[in-house]
Amino acid sequence: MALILEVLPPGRHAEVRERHRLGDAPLTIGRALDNVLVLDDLHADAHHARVEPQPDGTWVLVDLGSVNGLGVGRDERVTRVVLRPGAAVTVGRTTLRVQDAGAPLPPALRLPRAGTAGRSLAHASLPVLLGVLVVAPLVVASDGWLEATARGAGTEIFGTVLAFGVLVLLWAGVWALAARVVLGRFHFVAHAAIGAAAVAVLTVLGELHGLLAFLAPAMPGASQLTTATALAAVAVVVPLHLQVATHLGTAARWRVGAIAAGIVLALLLVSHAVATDEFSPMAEFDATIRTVSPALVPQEGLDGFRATRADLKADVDRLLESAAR
Amino acid sequence: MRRARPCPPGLVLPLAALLALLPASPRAAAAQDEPREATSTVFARYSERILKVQVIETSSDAKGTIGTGFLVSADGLMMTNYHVISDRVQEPAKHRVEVVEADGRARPVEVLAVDVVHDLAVLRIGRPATSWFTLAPVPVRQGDRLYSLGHPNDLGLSIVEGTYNGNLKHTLYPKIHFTGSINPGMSGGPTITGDGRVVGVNVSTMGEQRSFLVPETQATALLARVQAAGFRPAADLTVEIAQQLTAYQEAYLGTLLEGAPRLAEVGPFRVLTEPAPVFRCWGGSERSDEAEAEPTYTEIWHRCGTDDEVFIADDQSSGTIEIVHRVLTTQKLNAAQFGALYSQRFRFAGFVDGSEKHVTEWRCAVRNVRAPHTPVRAVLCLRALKRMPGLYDAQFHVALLGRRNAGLISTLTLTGASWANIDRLADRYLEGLAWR
Repeated sequence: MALILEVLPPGRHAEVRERHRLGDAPLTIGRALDNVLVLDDLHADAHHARVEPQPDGTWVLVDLGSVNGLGVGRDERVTRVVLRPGAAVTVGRTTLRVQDAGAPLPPALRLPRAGTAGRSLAHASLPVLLGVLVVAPLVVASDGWLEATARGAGTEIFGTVLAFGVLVLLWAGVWALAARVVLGRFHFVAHAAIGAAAVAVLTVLGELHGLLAFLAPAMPGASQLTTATALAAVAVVVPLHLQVATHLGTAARWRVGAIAAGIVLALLLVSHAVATDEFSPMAEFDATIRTVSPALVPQEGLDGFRATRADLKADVDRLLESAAR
Repeated sequence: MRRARPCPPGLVLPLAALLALLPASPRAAAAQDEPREATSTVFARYSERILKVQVIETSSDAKGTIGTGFLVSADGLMMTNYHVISDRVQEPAKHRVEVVEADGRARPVEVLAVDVVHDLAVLRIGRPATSWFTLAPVPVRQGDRLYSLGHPNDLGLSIVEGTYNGNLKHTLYPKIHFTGSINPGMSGGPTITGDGRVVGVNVSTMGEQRSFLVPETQATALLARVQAAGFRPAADLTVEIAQQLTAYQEAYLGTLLEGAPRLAEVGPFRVLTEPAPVFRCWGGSERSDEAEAEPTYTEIWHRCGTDDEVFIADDQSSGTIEIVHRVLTTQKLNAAQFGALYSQRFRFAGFVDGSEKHVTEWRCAVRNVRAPHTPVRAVLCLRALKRMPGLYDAQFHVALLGRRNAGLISTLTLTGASWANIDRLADRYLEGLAWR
């Protein structure tokens, strides 16, 4: 069995700095430059240890009377270690890890093919991302302007855009930092563009929802539409961020998105379940009115509205009956 | 148009605030030189016919409400206000009614009958009376001196001088305007002439000597009903109250808005106004930016209502009807901005007082409707009165559609109405709204 000695310099997120195949000759290890394996480690002795081949074909790491000895496991200090695949020994603050050169490896990851949908958003051109970051606030601002009914609404609109901007930057910052810490990728602009695009799309959808609520007040499930839109947004936005931040495959990303939406839904259901119905003397209804031409507004006749009222009365009578029980 | 609530013990119910615009009552109007009984003589002669009524809350074994009552027959029948003893009627298990005798001893009494619409109740005190008021019509003229007796704020039996000022104009049933200080606790006491004839029963006040009496005729009618029933108490007073309210709203709403309705022109709209002579309408307008030459938008309001309101319990009343029109016009806002303003005003269209004990939650139906004169956004909100079968509170909100710079939000509010009347009035209401 061929063994490889990997050298991991001090530090928590150390990467392998060099590798040595163990051979028939002893391998000297220490801070001095006449060693075979020279360690830049102030906690290692000049001549700290030596790997000695054994007649039975194994190798043993022997301490040469060093100040700190050889570290094994958590805090154990030894003077002699038999090197087996998977073992790790510390010399000073340097870790030596033993690997089996012949151990099987998983197949190589496939590179995303250029020109297909698999192309990462992280590599979208900067002008496109910046374009999104400019257009999204404009969408939010124009939506605010369309609903402005008071003088001096400019300040208010600016405030809204600023608030959304800060939220998007925070959101993108969290994604970018998390990705940087875990996987070493930052891509802040791409994350910000995803957040901004989501806000813009939700703003437009909100307007469409209002129009729908006005045109079709009797549509069943209209009140659940907002919730469904929010869940869909989570299910789409999370995979997009993951695409930028990770190497996960398409299916895996969507799965995570679906799980995230599921968690949000569960939280909503729980909050709905624990919320107690407060009695309200205020009659609440969907008051949305849009100034579209009445020719475009589907309308009920007087008879239809009478039937609607009769249904309402039946509904209230049922409520009364259940209250009596 | 709401009574203040909750009522502290013995509160005389304040009437709606609209009357506040009347000029201050000139006390000097009462002629000082005409011969009359000395007030002390009146008090000495009639005070033994008047007793304090108290409703004991059984869990605390202490007074929850106090009021006044007066004897009206030799066998110990007593007249008071329904609102004095309403707790007993609404929650009989938690309350009992007592009268306090001259020597301070409390005596349990029985509620024989109530007239919820006119706010009267007849009690039986369980002992014969040595002296009582005989109810009969009394001729009175505006300015006549009257004496009101009762227990203001449980301070002891008091006598108050005042003047008769005729019946209120804006109520469906007669109510006497008495200029004199009736205060909480005097509810149910009599207001009498110098020679001891009952003109009315103290019922409510707006403060500043603006007080109101239930006319003697209503008390006489209730007493006749008790007599016809053989002096037996009603099996279930809440059922009786429900029947009275049903009959009342039928008389009130049954023919409302029938025939050619009265219309007013408000901004670019034609709207219903003063649906009956008992209604009073008020109006006004407001610009969004008073300082600007051209406001962003203008809001005009036109509101019609009556002074009628039937007290059922501290947190429940009935028999109100109100029409509110609000007109929005703009020269500055674009179509989308006007739509946002219109939606925002429509959203805050409805609040009707009520508690979970007495009413169900609201349910609303929203539709775009082809009304006779214009397309509208129509919203009917409905809730049922839990203890008054067949009666509902309703709010009918209508917003006219079709203009980009003008809108009308109109609301009809009914409390304690039958479904048939609500449904019929919704149709009639839609007919009464149009563009000019």
